[in-house]
Amino acid sequence: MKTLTRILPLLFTFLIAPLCASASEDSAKAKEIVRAAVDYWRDKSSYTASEMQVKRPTWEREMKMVGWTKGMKKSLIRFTEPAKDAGNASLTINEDIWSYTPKVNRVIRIPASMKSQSWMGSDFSYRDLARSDEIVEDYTHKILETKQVDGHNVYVVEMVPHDSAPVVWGKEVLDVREDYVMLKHQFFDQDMKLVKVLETKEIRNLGGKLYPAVMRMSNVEKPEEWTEIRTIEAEFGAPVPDSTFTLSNLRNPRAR
Amino acid sequence: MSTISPGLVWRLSSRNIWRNPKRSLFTLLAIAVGIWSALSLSAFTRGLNQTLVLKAINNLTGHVKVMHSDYHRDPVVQHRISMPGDRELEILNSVNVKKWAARVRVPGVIMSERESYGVNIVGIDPAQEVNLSFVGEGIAQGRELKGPEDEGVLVGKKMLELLQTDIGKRIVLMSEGEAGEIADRGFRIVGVFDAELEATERVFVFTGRTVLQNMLGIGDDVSEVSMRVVDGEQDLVKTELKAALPNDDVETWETLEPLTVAMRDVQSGFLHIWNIIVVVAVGFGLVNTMFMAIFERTREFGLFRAIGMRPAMIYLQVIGESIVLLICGALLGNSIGLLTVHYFADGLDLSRFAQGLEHFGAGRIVYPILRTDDVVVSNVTIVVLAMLSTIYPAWRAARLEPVEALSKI
Repeated sequence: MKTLTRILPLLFTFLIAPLCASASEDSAKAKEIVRAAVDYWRDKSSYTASEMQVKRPTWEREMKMVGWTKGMKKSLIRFTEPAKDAGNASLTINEDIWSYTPKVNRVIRIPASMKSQSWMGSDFSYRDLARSDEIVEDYTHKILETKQVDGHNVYVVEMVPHDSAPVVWGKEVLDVREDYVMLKHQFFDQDMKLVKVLETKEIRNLGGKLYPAVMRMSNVEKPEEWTEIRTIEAEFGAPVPDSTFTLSNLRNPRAR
Repeated sequence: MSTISPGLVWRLSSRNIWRNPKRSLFTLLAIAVGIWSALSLSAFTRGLNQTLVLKAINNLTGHVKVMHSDYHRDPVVQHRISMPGDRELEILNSVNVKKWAARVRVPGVIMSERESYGVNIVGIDPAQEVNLSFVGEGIAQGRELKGPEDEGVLVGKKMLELLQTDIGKRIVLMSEGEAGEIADRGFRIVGVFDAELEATERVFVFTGRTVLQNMLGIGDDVSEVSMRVVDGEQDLVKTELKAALPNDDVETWETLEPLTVAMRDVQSGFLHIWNIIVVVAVGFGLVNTMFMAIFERTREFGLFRAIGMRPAMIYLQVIGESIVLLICGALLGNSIGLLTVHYFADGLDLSRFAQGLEHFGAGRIVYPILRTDDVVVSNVTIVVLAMLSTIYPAWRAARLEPVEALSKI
């Protein structure tokens, strides 16, 4: 009996405590990886010119757009082509999204109820547009495995949303390369069934760094429906004035 | 001097009925069916009205409600009131108020992995809702909310289906916060409520009041205080509350649910129209019967007149005949009516027509209510008006010329 009481603390110190420590260390490391990946992706500021292709079983369409971001909370995306959509723009500041349609010459604040709806008919929702570093704070992270892909180490990070987090998914799994390029973002429902995937199809050197140049969002339940965003041109870290992210600039674009 | 007493007239009247039993029976049945239909229709309509009003009151309305003066027009989070203070509590805890509840209620969105819908997010203290609103009546599956701090949500059965989710899973509720920003957070579904109307199951989502207050950042404020009062004291409570809270909106359910009130009034109006239709139908039937009876007996009336019966007595004789018919018919009609209402006392199950009924907000089971005033009004209108309709044939009979009448075949 006496030996047992003496052994128990020892057992704890040598067997269980290291496990706990490694678990929390592991989670801290996973969180760091996700944070670094988000920082790498958004940078301090960015300018991108890209194409968006929306594919449906019976039709498809392509649009061209330019976008600016600053920090984690500000972004502006404006469509330039085709003529039909040119001038359509979306401005995100914090969690608020405004949309401008030149045809009706109106700025509309997207109400909360519309945020989960499709953005410009694509597979992205307005929420996806505003999403940035929420995936750092609202989730519990865990490294599932570290694998080798094309000579790079890839971390597979499982992210389980906190109970009170405004996230509908059961879990999300993020594949991040060791240089913090995001490779894949999988969304699982609460039965842990895969629902949608954001995949990097091509990595290229853009604006002085390796960047996921082609990304595709696809719905697992409808395999022939997807949206691809191909970045053609990018600049990172260059100063973007705060006046870019204003309602007046949303409506009347200044020359860049 | 006259040997023809009213007693004799009465005897003649009642015997005349049995001269042509078949015809009398049909007239009697017409009166009975008229009264029966008026009674059962009024009982059924009153019952339907009752469920309609109860539903409306149960649907988070209550008898009296206190709100911000702009809340009724625009139910957003900025239009809120503080928790009941001392003066308000004094009224709320008086004998006139049976139950009261303070709720936070804002428009918002519920989202699952696959769907999102607009809903009314309601923060409640579950203990206050018992005997006050439908959510206090218990839930269909899962568990109830435990208190104002409960972080679970209750959703309607239909909503659970629409969201393609289940008890124990997480959903996200989103609304506008105090400063106009987006307030959202995840919640776990702990229970499912089953309301009689599908619309109710789709409209409301319940969670703990404190939890919702924290999410919206509104401290201890609420959107509404709803209460149930003792019968007949509704206006008194309203006046008292209005005096205590001059800046807030204090309304009774009649103001808050104008559609229910309109529905109730339309149905009452319809009852009166039905009574009139019945009276007209029965009245014509009766006039016809009495005319036939008079034509058959023209010679007889001539004889009566010839041997010295006064026209008034002939008049009374005809009226008396219709009175006997009317009274027997009314007795029969009332008893069938009462039996019908008694038969359906446990409720008339209308689940088969539930979808149609939902359009006007009624429940699936209707309990007929027979009000004394309805019985009196139906009987009096039918009996009195039918009697009036026999005045003309009676008057014709009384005016017959004896010689002419005797010469008729």
